[in-house]
Amino acid sequence: MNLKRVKAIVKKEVKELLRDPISLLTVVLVPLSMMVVFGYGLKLDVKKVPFAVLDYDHSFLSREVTSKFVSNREYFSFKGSVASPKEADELLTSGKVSMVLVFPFNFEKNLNSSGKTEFQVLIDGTFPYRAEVMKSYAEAIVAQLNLPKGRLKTLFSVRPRYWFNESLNQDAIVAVGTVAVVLMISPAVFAALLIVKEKESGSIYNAYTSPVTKGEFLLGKLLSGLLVSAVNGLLVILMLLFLFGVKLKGSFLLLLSGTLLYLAVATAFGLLISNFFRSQAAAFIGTTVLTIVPSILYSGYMTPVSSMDPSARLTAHAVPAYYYLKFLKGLFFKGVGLKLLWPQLSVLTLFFLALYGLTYLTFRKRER
Amino acid sequence: MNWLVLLYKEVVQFLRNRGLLLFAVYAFTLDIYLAATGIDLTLKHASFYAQDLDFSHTSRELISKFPPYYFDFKGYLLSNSQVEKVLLDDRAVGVISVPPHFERRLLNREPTSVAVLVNGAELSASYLFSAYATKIILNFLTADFFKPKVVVEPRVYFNQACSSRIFMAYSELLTMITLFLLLLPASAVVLEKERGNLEMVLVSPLKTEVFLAAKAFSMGLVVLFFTFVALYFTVGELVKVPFVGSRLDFLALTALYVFAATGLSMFIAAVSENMLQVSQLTILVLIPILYLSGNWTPIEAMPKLFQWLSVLSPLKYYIDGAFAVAIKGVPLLQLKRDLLLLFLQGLFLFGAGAFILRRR
Repeated sequence: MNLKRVKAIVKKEVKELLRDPISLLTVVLVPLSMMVVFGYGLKLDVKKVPFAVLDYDHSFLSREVTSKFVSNREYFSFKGSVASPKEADELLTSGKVSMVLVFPFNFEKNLNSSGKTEFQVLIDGTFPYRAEVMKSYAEAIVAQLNLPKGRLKTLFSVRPRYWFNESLNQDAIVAVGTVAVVLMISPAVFAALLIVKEKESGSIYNAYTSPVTKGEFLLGKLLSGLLVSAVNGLLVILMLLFLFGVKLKGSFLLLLSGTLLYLAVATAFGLLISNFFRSQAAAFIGTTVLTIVPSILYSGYMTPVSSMDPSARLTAHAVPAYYYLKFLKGLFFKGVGLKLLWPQLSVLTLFFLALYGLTYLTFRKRER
Repeated sequence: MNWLVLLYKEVVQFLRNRGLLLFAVYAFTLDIYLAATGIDLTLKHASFYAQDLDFSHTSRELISKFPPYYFDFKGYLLSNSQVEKVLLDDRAVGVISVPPHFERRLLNREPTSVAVLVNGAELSASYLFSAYATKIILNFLTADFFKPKVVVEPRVYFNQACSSRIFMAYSELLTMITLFLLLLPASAVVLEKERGNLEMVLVSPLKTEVFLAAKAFSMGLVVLFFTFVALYFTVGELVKVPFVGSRLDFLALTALYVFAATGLSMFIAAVSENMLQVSQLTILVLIPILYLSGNWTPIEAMPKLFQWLSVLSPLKYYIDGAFAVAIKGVPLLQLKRDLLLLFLQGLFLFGAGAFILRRR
């Protein structure tokens, strides 16, 4: 291994990027914009649910129930009354409202005669999560309404508490999760073109015919990808610490080294794809499909891995973002050290070795 | 005649790129299948533990009230440190904590409270967990004292069981359509730029516009074909999700979206000189479009600025329309507004893209 040649390759890649200002700009902008959009914007909160009322009863009670919904301005937004089920249907189908309260005839009378009365809530089920949340909102409002006044109300209570370690909040968790997603996609996509672009333009023949060995060539590519990603990684982490204000409880050095390892995994993955295909378009789209979807859906970023079905849980364990997210959570929220985080780091190391090893084995210094 | 030859050339070029073909097949079949069957956004089998400091008959009965379809009881915990550990390790979505003397206090009608500790690190499951758990516990505590007077009967339209499959299948399909539409035409154009073919076209009798339009059109056709396959095979046969409206309407709507998104792709092609730029710009455009479409974060819950910007995401209108057709069974003609806006957006983007491309 001649390190001088490796250095030359790294230098060439860096120069190439520096001489292409649009690329340079976009390469830096991609992770930053993803951090801003997802870190600030990704909220699953269901708020200001647009709803309408179909009231056949026109009684005091139906108006009281309606007013409970109307006055809850944070969660509901009243869009008006409708006169017929057809209108209600139309509003739901067109998406103008997501919920319709339906009070039947004798809604109040039934309460007075039998002590119990029912009304209906029609919910748009297009977005299943939102539908479930709306259902629970409606049930909570009715439960409030039912609680008898007086002592009983204070007698029993349920205290739901979000378990956040001290300063922790939802925004911090989203921001940390976003780091794991961004630092997988952006380095992998960058690295995905590193080899294949030379194949497409034909300049790879320079490498084929030069004395540079495949080990040196690949190491050079890996290091140049890593160098660019490391700058991005540092920027993203600084954003996390200062813009999003997430407090780091563990060691900064450990954070940096773990992140570098993760970036190496992402870069090695990109290189593997890059080595495998002969067109940049294929390499790019392959990397995108294989990184964006798994690292958002299977890393535990959006849905809990603990309650996935067995096949999905298995998939989750094959996604590097899952381990890195665990590592980040450990450092940021638990403040634990290497003693507890070594399993995650060793799995990431294995990922790296496997991916890079596979690239090394499949790379040929001549055309197939 | 000329442009038919060009069309043929582009399609053949796509088919001969085996890597691209492979990923297109993967994205429109297996990827959709995995996302639809593996990911559940509602609360299903949510793992939880109980910290029972009472160990009475009543407290055990309370825990037994959590239905196994939504909840998955993992066991009892003894100490606070254990509670902290399962939550921080993400091994549970929540922990139900029953205080000491719970049964006695309940019988003596003394105030008592049950704590629901929710793992805040779970984005989608944490709220539903706390809402369901609160409801179950309150019902249990108050059952002996009064019967509810007003009963609400929620009825979920279009998707009675609130299954995530339907949503995930279509939303993944639309995401893949968007990704391919942004990338394929742009990369086809930039490839010619990189190779210098575009210069040859410029000096040939072939009009550049025709050359570019053929590219956009053929790649649109390819995506439309894969949508067709995904719709009938992946979504219909593999994931087995109902399709309420007319599939033809869905394809017609997709064709219009192809127009708008291809316009964006042409825009990317116009400003890019090489594939690195295309790839980075594609992601740079894709992420905001995906986000602003309201597919994940409801538009009403976005920050105000993002709410205004969401008007610009063509995917927003496409999702509105596509979900209306596929899930609600709305006929295409009722979606005039979405159709019109998509068309206008496409017109503008296409025009702007073509203009910049020609100027270069």
